Amino acid sequence: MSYEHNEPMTRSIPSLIHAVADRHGDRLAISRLDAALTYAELAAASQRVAQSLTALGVRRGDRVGLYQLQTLETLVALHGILLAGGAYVPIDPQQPPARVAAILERCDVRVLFSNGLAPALVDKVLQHGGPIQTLIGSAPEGDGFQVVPWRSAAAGLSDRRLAGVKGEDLAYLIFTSGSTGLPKGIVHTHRSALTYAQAAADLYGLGPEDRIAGIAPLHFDQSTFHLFSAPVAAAAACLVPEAHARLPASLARCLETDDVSVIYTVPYLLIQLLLRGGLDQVNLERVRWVLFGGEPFPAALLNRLMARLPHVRFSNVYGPAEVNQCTYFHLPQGRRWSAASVPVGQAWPEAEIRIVSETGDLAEAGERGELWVRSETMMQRYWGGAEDDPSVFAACQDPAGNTARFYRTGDRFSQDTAGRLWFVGRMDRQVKVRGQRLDLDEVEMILQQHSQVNEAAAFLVAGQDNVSLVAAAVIPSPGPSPDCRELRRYLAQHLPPAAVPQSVEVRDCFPRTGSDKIDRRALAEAAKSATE
Amino acid sequence: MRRNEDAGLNRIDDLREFVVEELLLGTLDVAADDDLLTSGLVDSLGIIRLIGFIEESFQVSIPPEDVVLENFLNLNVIDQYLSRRGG
Repeated sequence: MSYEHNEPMTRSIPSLIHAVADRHGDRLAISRLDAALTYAELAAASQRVAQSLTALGVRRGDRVGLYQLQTLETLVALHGILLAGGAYVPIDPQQPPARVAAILERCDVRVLFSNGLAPALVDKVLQHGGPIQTLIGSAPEGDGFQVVPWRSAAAGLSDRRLAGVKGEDLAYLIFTSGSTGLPKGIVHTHRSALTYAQAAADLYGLGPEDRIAGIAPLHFDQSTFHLFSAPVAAAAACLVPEAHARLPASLARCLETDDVSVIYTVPYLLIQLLLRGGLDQVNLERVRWVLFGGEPFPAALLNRLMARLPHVRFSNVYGPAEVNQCTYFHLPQGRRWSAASVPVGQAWPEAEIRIVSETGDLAEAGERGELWVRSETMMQRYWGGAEDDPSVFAACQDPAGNTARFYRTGDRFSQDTAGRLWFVGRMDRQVKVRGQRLDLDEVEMILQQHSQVNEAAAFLVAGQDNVSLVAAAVIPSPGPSPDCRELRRYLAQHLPPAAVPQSVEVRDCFPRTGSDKIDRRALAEAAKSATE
Repeated sequence: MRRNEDAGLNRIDDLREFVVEELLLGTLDVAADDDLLTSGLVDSLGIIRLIGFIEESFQVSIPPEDVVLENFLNLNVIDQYLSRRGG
């Protein structure tokens, strides 16, 4: 299968794109609605952007921001950044402007693509100041930065020279919620990205005939599948516009029109597709494989979806963004899955895993422990952190006596006697809401910084369609009591939308456990019965 | 005719208030022809809540197959869709 496989250790993403453009230049690389680019066109267009970026002063290792929706132009910009030797930093347009500004500041982004985004949003980010020197896109002129229209940036000279990008160079930084209030930047290199892309292309047997749905936004690590596994197989990535992905019936039609063969997304969207997508009115015969990950898929709903699409293979994919993918479970086709939950299966060939019990020993079958992963697909480090940070990585001796670096996932795992791996929870208070990673400690910390809040608790409650939602309760400080709306508005200025509680209850006291800790489970129960 | 125009305006105002206050929590203002979805203003859960609000406030039932971009692109388009539904 891996016909493009030639020493990913020394290869870069730009050299992959050029290799495919040389051999299969007229093949479709990316499509979105009625627009499309072949590999030859993608290579040429990204060269022109790379030349412009170089002229703007972008050098190897520089971080360049992508603050725009996922269009053909965005992917041309992304490959242009990589070709110029830069690392792209995808930024969720739904993040509050203060958080966007904090990310730009943190990784010293001087050039930012913001083409097609609402100018009001861009303006709000720039009001925070920061390192931006050049804005590529449509935006008001301002003090201290220049605006380059996208058309000019896309019209650089076409020059075949690469910036000498090496496998260990930074390729991209994905920011994720941490417990401290500062988003953590996950640093991936060309090598980790390509090792993942190759392994995923092999595991799912991707070939030139495949049309991979590009649903995940760029700031979500699932996107590296359609971005990089597609070119590894000389396949096409069919971008699903963000707006379509938000409306299940539009998503279903888009998948049909694009004739997609492989879909990788979060259970939340698949459940929406099942319940609201009008699947009986679309033809998804071309789909051969559905991969889901990011959160557990309730088996009852998964069974309904599998019954609706009996010709399709389904796989549960597990792996924190820090390691890309590391385990998989292929569901038996044509049968109901009888257990209430779905295992995450087995480690894929790229990954070496350990389940480490609280005593530091390897867990026995059935015993719970933290999952440690070692893999070439692993991040280099967190941005601003060290490659040997002991709170992130564990150093172990391998059989040959060499020190091996494992990423400590913080995920609690167990392995059953049949050798199957199960995700059983978190070591900390990180949660997944619609596949997005959030930290309840961060929600509480930001609530507690509000002047009218004395104590805060955040927890998950179950919403419609099996969707988990964040909710919170506070004990106010002495004085005028805050109201729910005001507190939510305050939180929305600091947290990504999925982390903003649907309700904030103001209480006189909290239920406590025997050890005087806040009983968040009781609070969640109370919130649940209040809405029933 | 005049009455209908007023009804339309009120409805758009009601929709706008819900989107701005409930979904965007007052962080941004929205014009009737601002693109709600493609500009990234409203997420998928927001759309579900908006539909719940519309069904409750305007006494209509919206079938899932109607929840498509052509009917929900912006506040004007939603208003026109509701008019077609006889609202």
